[in-house]
Order: sequence, then C-alpha cells, then structure tokens
Amino acid sequence: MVMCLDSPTAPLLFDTAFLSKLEQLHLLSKKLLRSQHRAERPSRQIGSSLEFADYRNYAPGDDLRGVDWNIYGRLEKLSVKLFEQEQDLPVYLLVDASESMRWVPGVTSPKDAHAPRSKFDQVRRTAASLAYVALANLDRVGIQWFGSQLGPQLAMTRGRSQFHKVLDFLQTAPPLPGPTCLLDSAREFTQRTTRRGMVILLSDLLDPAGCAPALTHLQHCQFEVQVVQILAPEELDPAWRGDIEFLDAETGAPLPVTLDETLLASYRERVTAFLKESTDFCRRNAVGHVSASTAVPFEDLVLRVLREGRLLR
Amino acid sequence: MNFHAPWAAWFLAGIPVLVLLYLLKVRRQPQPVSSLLLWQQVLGENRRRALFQRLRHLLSLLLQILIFLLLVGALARPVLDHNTLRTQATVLVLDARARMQAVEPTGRTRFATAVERASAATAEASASRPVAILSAGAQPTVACAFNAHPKALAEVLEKMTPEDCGGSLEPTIRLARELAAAHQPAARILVFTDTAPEATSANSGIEFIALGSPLDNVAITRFASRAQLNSPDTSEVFLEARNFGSTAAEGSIELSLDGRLLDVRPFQLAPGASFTQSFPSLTPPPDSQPGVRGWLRAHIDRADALPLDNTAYTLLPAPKTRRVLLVSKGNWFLEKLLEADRKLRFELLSPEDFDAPMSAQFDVVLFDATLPTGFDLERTAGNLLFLNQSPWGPLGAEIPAPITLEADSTHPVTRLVNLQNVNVRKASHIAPPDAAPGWRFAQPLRALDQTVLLTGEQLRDGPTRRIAVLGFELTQSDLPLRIAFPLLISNTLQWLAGSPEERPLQIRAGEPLSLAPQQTASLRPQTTPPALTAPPSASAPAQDERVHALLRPLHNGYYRIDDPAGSSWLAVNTFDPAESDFSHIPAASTAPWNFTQSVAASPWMTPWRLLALAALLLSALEWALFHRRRTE
Repeated sequence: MVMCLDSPTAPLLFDTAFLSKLEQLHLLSKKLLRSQHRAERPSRQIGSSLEFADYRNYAPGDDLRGVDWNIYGRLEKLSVKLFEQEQDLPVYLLVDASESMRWVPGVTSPKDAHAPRSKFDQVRRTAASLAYVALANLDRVGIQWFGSQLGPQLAMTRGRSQFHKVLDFLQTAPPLPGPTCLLDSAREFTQRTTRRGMVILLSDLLDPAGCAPALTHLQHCQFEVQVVQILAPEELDPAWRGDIEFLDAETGAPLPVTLDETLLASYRERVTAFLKESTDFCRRNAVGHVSASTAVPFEDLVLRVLREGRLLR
Repeated sequence: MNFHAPWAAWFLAGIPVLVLLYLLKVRRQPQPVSSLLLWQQVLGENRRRALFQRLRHLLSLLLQILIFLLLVGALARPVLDHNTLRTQATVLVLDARARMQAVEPTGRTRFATAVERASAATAEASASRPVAILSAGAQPTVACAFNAHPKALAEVLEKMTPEDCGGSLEPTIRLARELAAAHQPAARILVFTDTAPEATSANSGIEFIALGSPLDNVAITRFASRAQLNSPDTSEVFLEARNFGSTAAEGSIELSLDGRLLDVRPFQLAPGASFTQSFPSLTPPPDSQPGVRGWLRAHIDRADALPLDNTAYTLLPAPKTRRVLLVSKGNWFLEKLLEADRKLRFELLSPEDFDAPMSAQFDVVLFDATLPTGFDLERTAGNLLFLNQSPWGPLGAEIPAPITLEADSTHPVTRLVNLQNVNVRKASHIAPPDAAPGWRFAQPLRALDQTVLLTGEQLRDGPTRRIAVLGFELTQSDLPLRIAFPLLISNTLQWLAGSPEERPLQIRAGEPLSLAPQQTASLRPQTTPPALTAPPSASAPAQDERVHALLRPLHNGYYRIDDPAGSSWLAVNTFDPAESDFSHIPAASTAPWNFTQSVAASPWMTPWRLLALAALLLSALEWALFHRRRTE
C-alpha cells in the first residue's frame, strides 16, 4: 500500500514498509485520561480487561465470576477482583499553518540538499505519521490548523481506515495570514474541545509572545501537551552576508540589516537561547518537547528523534 | 611644501561627488525570512550597533576621502620645503674619467652608481626645477642643457658612458659654475665623483658626492716599442707595471702580437712597487702573412678594481716604403740596386713614356742619362735625381779622369761614402743656374774645384723640393762595383725623399692628434685583431665613423688612420697613475652632505611616491574592512 500526501514542494509518500514501522510505535501518554471508547490504553476506570487493578469486598449482586476464591480459601472472606478499563486516547494534533511555517528559504546550505523545502511540509508529514500511529493503536485523532487564530479542524476519527481522511485534510491547508498567536489559538481550542486528551503542538514556536502562555493554558485545561518544534537550517545558521533587507513572511515588515560575522554570531547565540528557553520551560512544566531541523530526514525524525524525545515508544 | 603639478588640485572637486555617492541610499537585497522575531531581538540587544553602523558609514566615507586626497596629493607631486628652498635649478656633474670604471665589491662600477644617484635629482626635474648634466672626461662636455623633463634627462643619463682618459675636474667645475651663474636664480651644483678636490674657495658651494671605497689595483703604466738603431727591422718593447694597492699582488703579463701570444712574464709586486720588463728583438712577420698589423698587446692576467688599465696597446714601428721611378733606357746596376733595397718600391719607365704629372706620384724620380723630350723642371714636380745630365741645360766642362773625388762627409748624401778607390773615366762639371731664386745648392762631391755632384733645395711653403745632379755616367766608372755605390744611391734617395713624417705610434686617451688635410681617422677603436681567416672587409667595422682634422680618442685601443698613400694604426692607452690609484678614501663633501646623500641614496623616497604608497595601503585596509563588514 502506498499513500501519498501531496504538497507544493514535495510529495509525502507513505508506503507499506514505512507504515509497518509506524504500526510498531505507540504514543506515550503520561496521564490516564477518561474516554468513552474501549481500546488498548489503560485508564482510571474499572472495567474488563486482563490488567488487574484492585480488590474489594463482595457485595450482593456482584458477579460470582469475579470472586477470588484463593483469597476466600486463605482468609474466608469474599473479595472481588477488579480489572482496569482499557480505553482509547484522544489525540489532538495542533498544526501550525502560519506563513512562517510556509516560508521557503531562498538559500539552502549544501548539507540540507535533501531536506524538505519548508517547515510546513515537515510538520505535515510528522502530523500524518503521528496520526497513523494513533489510529493504528485505536486512539482517536483530531487535527487542528492554527496560525493567528484557529483554523479548520478534522473531527475526531478512529481506526486506521480513516487515515486517508487525515491525508486529505493535511493536503488542504487553508491560508492563515497574520502573525502567529499561540495563546489565542490555544484558548479557542480549549473552548471548542470538551474532552481532554493529548495535544501535540507542531510548530516553530516563533510567536512574539512566546510559547509559554499557550502551553500553560493547555496544561491548565488538563491536556497532556507535547511539543514538536521544527526549524529550518537557514533559521539556525543563516548563510546570508552583506546589506540585506529582511521581509517578515507573516507581516511583510522590512528590517534593513548589514550582516557581518559579529551580528551572525549574536544571532546564533540568540537562536540557541531561544531553543533553550523553550526546552527548559517544557522540562520544568512536564511538557514533552522535541525539536528538529528540516535538514533531518523525515524517517529519521519520526523513528529516532520522536522516540528519543519520548513522544513515541 | 611646493607642488610640481598644482593643476592636480582640480581633482579636489571630486570630493563632493564622493560625498554625494555616500549620501545615496544603499540598495539592499530583499530577503524574505520566516520571522523577524529573533533578528529584532538580536538587534535590540545590540543597540550600540546602530551607533556603530552610523560610525561605520562615516568611517568608510572618511577613508575614501582620505585615499582620494592622498592620490590627489601624489598627482600634485609635492616637494619638501628644505628641498625647494635651496635652489631652483641643478647642475649635475658626472665624473666620466677612467677611474670611474672601477668595479666596487658590489659588482657595480662607480660610474653606474653615479648615474643611479644622479637619477634621483633628475626625477625631481620640473619647469621650476630644471636640471643640466655635464660630463667631466678629457674635456668638459654638456651632456644636456637645462631641461625640465625627467624622462629626457633619464635618457641622457642612460646614454652616458665613462671615458678611458684621465684629466682634471676643474675645467668641468668651472663650466658648471658659469652655467649655474647664467641661470636665475643661481643653480646648485652637484658633483658625483670618487676624487673630490680639496676644499678651496673655488669649490665653495659645490656639493661633492663621494663614491667608492679604497680598492687594490695593478696597472700597466707604460708600454712602448721602438726600432733598434742598428737594425731598423727589429724592435724592442718596454713595459712597466705598478701595484697601487695596499697588499702584495702577483700574476702574469701576457704579450701578444696581432693576436698571437709571444711571451708570458710572471710578477710579484709589493704594495706601491713597480717592475719593468723589456722584450728585445721583436721582428714583425712578413707583410705577405695575412692579418699582419703590428698590434702589440700586453695584458695582466689578474682581476682587480680597474680592468681597463690591465690591458695596454702599442704598435711595432714599421719602416716607410719609398716609391721611386727610374726613367732609363736600361741600367742593369741601378735596377738591381733598387730591387735589392727593401725600403724602396721602384718602377721602370722609358724616357718616351714619361709624362710630367707622373712624377707627383713618386717620392723620387731618377733620370738616367737621358732626359725625356720636352722636359721642363718647373712642370715636373717632385724630387729628382739626374745622372750625367742637368735639368738646367748642357753639362759643364768635361773633367777627364778625375784623380781625386772629394766627398763632404757631413752632407747626408755623401755620409759614410768612401770614393777613394773609385775610378771615373770622364766626368762633367755641374754648375748651378745663374738665377734660381729660392734655391739653395751644395756640392757634396767635388773634383778639386769642379762640382761632380750638385744638390739643391727649393725653400718654399709646404714640402721642400730637392734635386740632385751627378756629373758622370755610371757605366763610365767602376763605382757600381764599389761598396760606395749602394751607399751613395741610398743616401741620395733618402735625402731626396726627405725624412718621413714622424707620427707617434701611440698617444694617451683624450690627447688630441692633428690629422693631415687628406687624412681621416676612425672614431671607434678596435681592441682585438681580426681573425686570420677573416676576409679583409671584416678587419674594419661596417659603419666606421670617421673624423677629419683632429682626432681625440676617448677609449683605449687601435685607431685606423687613412690617407691616400694607405692606412696606418695608432695605439691609445690611459697610462695615468692618477686614474689607477684607488688607495685613497674619497674626500668629504664641502656642502650640506647629509641632505645630498640622503636624497641621492633613496631615490624612491620622494613625497609623491610616499603618498601613493599610503593611498595603496589605505585602499588595502578599506578593502579588508569592507570584506569584514567593518565599513560599507
């Protein structure tokens, strides 16, 4: 089976071999969240499964098949074995579709010759992969575009047979002009979404207000938050020199700059600090965080980087 | 500070253009980026960079303006005050005497060093600072009058060469003074020499630039040849060499004749010592051998300060051949006698074929017994010998069998002639003409009171004309059988032909030599004989420059002198101990020495070159700063 996610810059191919690798993975969730559908993910509810949960005293009306006769033999007291209820996990993929994500660098360094040309392609691939992993594990998946505000969403779907819907949705990303606003988007998302679950935020986090308010808000609303931060190599280590007028892809604002080695060194220090700030914040607040460059090959990103970031297992 | 090219100040009008170009907004290359968030933060953290940007902009402008000003300053060709305040014009005197060819330990000759230092002064020539160049050789020479063009002056300096002659600097310095005084304001005089004269009032105000250092030298100071008195065909050669150095010298002297090595004499000379050598009994090879010129060359096979005086030239004296015309119907004794004399070249002619103008082509014309028809003494030029006849008419009274013939031993004709055993059958008295103004007669051979041999000299302007008349027929005596016969005839012919013109075999370089009206001399010397197998045309340069009237050879070697009778050679040598002595340290200058020496020693350190160099360095600095984004 070969499924394709078309994009303006590069087609996203999901062949059988890659999908079989994704089927071996699971989304790691640190919280036990309540859900409605039975699945394979443990929950706080007591139900029928093979996972032992607890004992309680027998009460009239209980099913005698649940009595632990071994306990009765030793203690002459009727006790009933309780089992965990295995449920599914709501997974919300918040995909940044702002203009900063759609920006295509004019200059590429030789080392990223085989990398996707935009961060947007990389996050859409990643979102599709994560969605497939969730669908393959009977979790429900919902995808939400966001930028300056919340965009269209893919309703919660379940089962791997719905993967083509995911791909169709990812191929039709609407333009979301304006500067990225994570907090507004998060607020709108929490207002729309009543069922708690795992939120995977795929973005470059280039929000003038920072990512901290939005992530804090999501945590405050009982969501388990994971962040996948994607940046382009040109953003990490620019190759430009001389007199340049930068144009903001989101606002179109110009910024005249004369790039010399000193300024570039300062920029690199600032980028490093920016990544460290987001990483430290996520570590302090138990938010999963994975950052990668578009120069990292896609399979390497999914099969290695996300697993090392403990987003997948 | 003064400027040689003040018109360059017009280029300063370009500075506003430069500033205007900087005021124009820099067109930046647009570059979309995903977000300005991080860039703004970086620029916000480095707010001081904004000030630096403006400063950088200003620094770039200032650097460009400074480079522009330096280039304009270099174009204006500034000169320093202490240089211009001295005198406006300069007279350069270059010592071109033989000693300036001395090779210094650096491998350069002193003259080359003088030219190099003089070029520093010519490089500063301008309309306000003209430069004249004098050469001090055998004679003062104005190589270039006051000229304001450095290129033309440099060409003159490049063409100047040292001479092989000695001499004094004084005439050239006097000429330089006159030249400098004629210029307004008075020009300064720079003399480049290795022997600055003593500081006297005559030399006051003249800047002497001393060149060279004490050097060792061995030179040939004399080299001459002369014919031996008892054997004119054989010559002896005299040579003198001297060590002018401070250390002992040894080597060898080679003597060669027409390129053939004759002898090698080793020598060892203490400092200041000299030695003489003579080479007796040198016989020139026969004329029939090709390449014979009689060139004698001595050479010291040793390297020293002045190679010029290691070689000397001279010539073997060659006897002059006389041309004699014998007008006779046949005289076996006379013909054999004239054939046997190697100094004579005679031709035989019958009286019928004689023509009066022919006599001018011969040194002596001998009329034997018969006068040509219509002979006229006045129309017949040259020196004449008459046998048994008189040009003035019939012979005088007959003297039958004169017993005694009395010869005047003091007269050149009868010198060493012994006529005691000579028997004459019949002789005639030779009487001088009654009216012969301008003639002086003598009777070197007499028979009692009768004249048997009469000689006459016509005193006039120009060559003296001589006549001899013998009053008996040779066949009527036994004189041809006596030893007195060749002596008498030879003496008579030599006296009639007169003494050969005594022209020196050699002179010193720079000495003048007067040439006869029909003589020409080569202007360039030859120093090596032509190859023996070379064709005759190769013996002389293809385009040999000739001089008339006066020859003043400036270089050593052999000079060819041509006249209608043939060609001869003249040897020229330096032979001046003052030119070969390098044992003394050059005298100090009599004028602002430091300045002169500093300018002459560093011709590249002129102000305009320094400015151009500074502009170049600043341009390199600005280029480096631009590429490091320190400037815009």
